[in-house]
Amino acid sequence: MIRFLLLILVLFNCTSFYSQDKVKIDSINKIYVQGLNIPQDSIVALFQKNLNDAETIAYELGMADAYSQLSLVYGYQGKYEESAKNAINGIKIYEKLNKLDRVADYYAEMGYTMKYRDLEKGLYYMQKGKAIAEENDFENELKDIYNNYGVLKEMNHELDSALIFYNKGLKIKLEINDTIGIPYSWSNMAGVYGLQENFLKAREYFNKSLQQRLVWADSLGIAENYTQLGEVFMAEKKWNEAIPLMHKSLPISLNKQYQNLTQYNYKMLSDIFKKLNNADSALYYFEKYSTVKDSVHSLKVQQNISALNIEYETEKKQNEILQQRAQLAEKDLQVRRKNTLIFGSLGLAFVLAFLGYLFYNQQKLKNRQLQKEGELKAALAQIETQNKLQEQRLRISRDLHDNIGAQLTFIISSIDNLKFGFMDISKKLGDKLTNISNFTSQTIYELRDTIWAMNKENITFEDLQARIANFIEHAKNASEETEFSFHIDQEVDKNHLFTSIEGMNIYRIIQEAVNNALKYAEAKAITVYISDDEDEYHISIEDNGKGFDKNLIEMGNGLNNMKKRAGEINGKLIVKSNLQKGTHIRLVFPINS
Amino acid sequence: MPYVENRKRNLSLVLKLQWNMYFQLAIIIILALLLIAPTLWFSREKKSIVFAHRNTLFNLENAISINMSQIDLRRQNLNKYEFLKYNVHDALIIQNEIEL
Repeated sequence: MIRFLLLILVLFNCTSFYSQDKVKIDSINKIYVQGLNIPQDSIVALFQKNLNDAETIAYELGMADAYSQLSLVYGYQGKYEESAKNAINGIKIYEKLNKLDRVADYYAEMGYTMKYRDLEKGLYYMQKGKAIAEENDFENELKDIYNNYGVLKEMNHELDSALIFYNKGLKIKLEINDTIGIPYSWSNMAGVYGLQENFLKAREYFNKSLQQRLVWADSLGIAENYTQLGEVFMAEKKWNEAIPLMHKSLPISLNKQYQNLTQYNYKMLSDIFKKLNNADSALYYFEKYSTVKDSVHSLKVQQNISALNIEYETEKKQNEILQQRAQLAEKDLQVRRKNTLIFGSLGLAFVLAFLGYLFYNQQKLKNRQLQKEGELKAALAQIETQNKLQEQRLRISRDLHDNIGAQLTFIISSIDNLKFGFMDISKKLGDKLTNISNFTSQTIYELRDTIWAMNKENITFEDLQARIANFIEHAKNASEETEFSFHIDQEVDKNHLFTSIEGMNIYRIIQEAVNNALKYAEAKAITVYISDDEDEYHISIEDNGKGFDKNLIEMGNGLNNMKKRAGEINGKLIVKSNLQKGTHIRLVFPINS
Repeated sequence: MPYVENRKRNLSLVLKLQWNMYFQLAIIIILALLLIAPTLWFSREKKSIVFAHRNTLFNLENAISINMSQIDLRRQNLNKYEFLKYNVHDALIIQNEIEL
């Protein structure tokens, strides 16, 4: 009996205990995770213990609920694998227990937690959960499912669709007065309004949600609202208004170890400070973000941090490079300006030098030309003067000859007229008149010679020689019995120039001597010989005539004329004559007379 | 210095460098013109001077040549004087084109 009673007592106790455990398990499973203000690890430990307890008593529903809570907590912590594992474990039990409402909720929850990692899959699971809930009209689940589904729709940019589902969810929540869920709906709707750029309405709904959550101390929700309000300001580019809101959200998300929100806040802050060109702060928050994200997601964050770091360093380096470039550019500019000045001055100096050279060259050319023109002008003036002088002399000579010659001719003519006009003039008178006539004729001849000599400056030896030869030829023709010879010594300079007076006088002397030899000496041979020594010419006229005694015969006009002519050329006339032997007349005169 | 200020400073320097380049170019062009223009002008002047000089020389040489030919003609005529004929009228030929 006692054993039976003991057994019954033990059974009763066991039952009691078992009942008490289930209640405890249920009560723990019902805890609102978002509102717990204990470390996340503790929450995990709590539900893990709860699960273990449920396993211990094989309380499947409790296990499933515990799995559900664990899935939720791990999801908040970003431990998606753990979250998914727990969710699947929970779903299996719920399906086994035919707890379709839980199944619907689980799928929806699973889909919701996958929204960042795999939106498509997330939508799939959510739709699955929604379908089950709608089919079975699980309003309690549907309120959250609609809300969360709206979130996914929103993420998928189906804003109108998102609003529809949010409103659906809100409607149910309002009906059942889900004071915790209503703020979620408001927040979600506000988000859509924000995306539609209806910022006023967005802020209105976020504030409504925030106020409600503040009442119910929904820490995570409050943190989310702060972040969302900050996002609205960000969308309006009011960066400075957004920052304090992010800073309000951060401590809550950190405290609650709501990793996703924490990393999101950090990311938003990093973006805000980047927009404000505050690279330091931007980098700081991005590092924070990546630290959080790394623990949640893959190592891709490291690369982003590195990239941001690099970007920061690059910007810093670029800034330094720009500064250095600016300094180099300034120095370069100074150098270029100096160079411009120097080269410009050199160039100008070169140009001036070149202009000077051109000018100098031009002047030199002009001077050369002027000199040449001057020489030619001088030569022209000289030759013109000479020409004019000669011409004037010639004209005067000619006029002189014409006048005097005419007068002398008149005299001759008059005398002739006298001689032949008066038949009874005496012989003496006749002879006298004849002498006067001859003298006058001679005067005319001398006048002509003088006039010619006045105009002819010089006569070449060659010319003189030719004239003398011509004269001798005439004499030969006039006196065929007489033998004439004319020689010039080889040593005589044939290029010598005589003045016309010299030439004339030499010729006349020779002419007179030869005529005398022919007329008076009755010579058979007459020789004319020209020679010279160093500084005198010797012209000798020799004949083999009858000669004369100089002491007895008075020098006639011819000989006197010859002496006079010799005197005119600074020479002397030497007359040697021997009776019957001939006469030798020698004219000696200086070469440069 | 902030990045934006640096960029502004660099931009102004770039403009200054550009203006300096234009200034240098302007100087080069001006110097080139100062070289080319006078060279052309002097070349043209030289040609005209040489041409005028050649004309002057030609006229002078021509005048000299005329004078020389007149002197030569006079000399030739004077050489026609024969001592035996006393033909002074054949020797003294007046050249009327000579203006005294």
